[in-house]
Amino acid sequence: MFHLEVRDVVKRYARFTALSGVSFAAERGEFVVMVGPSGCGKSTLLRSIAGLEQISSGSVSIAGHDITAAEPSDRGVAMVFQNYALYPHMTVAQNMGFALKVARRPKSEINAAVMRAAEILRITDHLAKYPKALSGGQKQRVAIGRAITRAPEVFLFDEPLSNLDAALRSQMRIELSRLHRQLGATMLYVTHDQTEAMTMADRIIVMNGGTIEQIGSPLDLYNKPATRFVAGFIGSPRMNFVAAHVLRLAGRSVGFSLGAGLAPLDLEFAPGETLPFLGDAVVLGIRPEALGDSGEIHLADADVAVVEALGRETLVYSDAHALRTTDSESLDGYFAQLVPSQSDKRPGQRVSLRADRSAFVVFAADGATLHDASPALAHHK
Amino acid sequence: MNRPALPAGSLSASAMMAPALILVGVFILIPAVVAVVGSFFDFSMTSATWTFVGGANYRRAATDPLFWLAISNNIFIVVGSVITQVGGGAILAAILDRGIRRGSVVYRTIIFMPVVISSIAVAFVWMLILDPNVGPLNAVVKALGLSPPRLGWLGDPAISLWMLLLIAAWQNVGFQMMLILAGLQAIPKENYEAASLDGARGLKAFWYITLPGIRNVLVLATLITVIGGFKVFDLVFVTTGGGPANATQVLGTYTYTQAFSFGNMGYANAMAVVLLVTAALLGWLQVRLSRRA
Repeated sequence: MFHLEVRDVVKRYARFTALSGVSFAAERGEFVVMVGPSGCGKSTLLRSIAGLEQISSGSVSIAGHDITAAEPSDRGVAMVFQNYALYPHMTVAQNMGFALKVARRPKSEINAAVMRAAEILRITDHLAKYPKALSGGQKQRVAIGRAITRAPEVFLFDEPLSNLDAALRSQMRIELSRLHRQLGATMLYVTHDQTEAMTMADRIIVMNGGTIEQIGSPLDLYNKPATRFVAGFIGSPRMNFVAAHVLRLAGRSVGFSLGAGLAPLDLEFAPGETLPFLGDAVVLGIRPEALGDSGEIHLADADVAVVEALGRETLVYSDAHALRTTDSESLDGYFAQLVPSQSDKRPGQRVSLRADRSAFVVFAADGATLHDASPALAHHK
Repeated sequence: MNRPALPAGSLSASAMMAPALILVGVFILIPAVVAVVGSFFDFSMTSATWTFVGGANYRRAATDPLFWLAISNNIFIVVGSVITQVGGGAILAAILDRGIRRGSVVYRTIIFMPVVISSIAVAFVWMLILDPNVGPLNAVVKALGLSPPRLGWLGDPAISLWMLLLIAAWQNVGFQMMLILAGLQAIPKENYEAASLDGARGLKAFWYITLPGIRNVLVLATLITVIGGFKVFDLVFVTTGGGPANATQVLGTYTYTQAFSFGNMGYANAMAVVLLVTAALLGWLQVRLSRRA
């Protein structure tokens, strides 16, 4: 039996549908991250599970109980909010013990629960302080502590790290992972940051436009994205996309034209992969780390436009003139290239964009993946 | 907006404070000092000399039944105003914050309107409404088959003070409503959501989240009302002048009468000082109470 089960959840507002039939389930103790762009419905889904939103249809059950119509406090969930939502007139200890106090539990029990949570989060020194005396990171710890004292079946996190600075965020990521292991609790975590999703999740749910695009482990999503949306959303810098159309078909070999003056590209489709039709418009995808100076295929010649030296690795953005990436979100149609070392490339330098055949992903016009790349390890020697 | 603070004691800091300090000095500080000094003397508007009488003016106040009547009328207005203005303002604010979805701005504007009208104008408008001969209130009461007070709404000593309370409430409830509404809306929605997950809904949410959240605003609103109730003058002066038969006499009007009708400037000063000390104590209390939270 699944610990958390969401079935066909629909949430309609007067003018638009935020969730159109969402279903998924989480095992006990699983860390599930819901990720997607703003407005994709991930927060609405989380709030629906918390009972802060009334769903239009569908059902939610936790630990075998249907809680679709239950009050928020009777669902066995605790939630951590983006802006902490601490009660400003209560001390840290009072904030953390509030739920137990409202439930009229004995003082000794409340104190013990607060102490235990404070020790887990290392905030025992701050128990007597008011929230306004705390830093952002400490406030977020208190908010998490407030959830822990309630010992819920499911923890819900609504973008809990977005208000923290980058350094603190990566520290809290590690801490949340540790906390998850320590508590063994079921956690559902919403973020728009794919790094948070990749680093913490047992499983990621990628959402877009009120529906689930794909559910899978972080590496599954990275290696075998089900749609072009997932391919573009997971991974940083983003996958490069190039418009192409089907030039020739011979058995499972498909030839693509990338445009006038560019060499056609032949890819071998595996058995089970859906073949496109002759003349179909498709999109080819290639990860920035698969693009380099060497490789079987010469895609195009390009001029380096921007170099970002990160020390351990280098991001090179180059302009291939005739060949533009089709992604509106990438910089001016530049190709992103991730060099796993320091690089002496300079802006203005002419380079050749090359890649192995096995690195290409093919998407149909509707976004569905037709052909997968081989896993990253295989083509990155 | 992070501007560097001016170095303490620098010339430009003093220069920038000067206009405000001069105004406060000329119109508040100096008159207050003069009033305190004058309260120990016996003199009139036209006296060439001031006669030092020590605490005689204060002793006179202590034994003057009219002074005590005025004080008790002030207290009546203070208590009544806290109930009608802060209580009423809180109810209106809650309705506008939660109950009404459409046109809340319109209601807010209408309820706030009397606040921006001068007290004198408010007094005249209400004198018209309450007029025993041509006032619409009498017409309405008669139309309902009831008989209005024979001496008039403001002329009947048994009800005139209640009428003043009503007028003051009408004039000020919008201000308190705005204050409390701002306080209510400053409580983040997420705090209620967190509370509902913690099991506090409805009355419990009000008790644990709303009330503490607007505590400072309520303290401020109450003290503004209390101080206003002690200082009340123009409304009473225009509508009843303290009458009938001192039924609406308050400290403000009684001080005025002693000073400008009877020429007892020293005595009037002593009563003004009592008022000043009361207001100052309440102001200090307000600062203290709001700092605690």
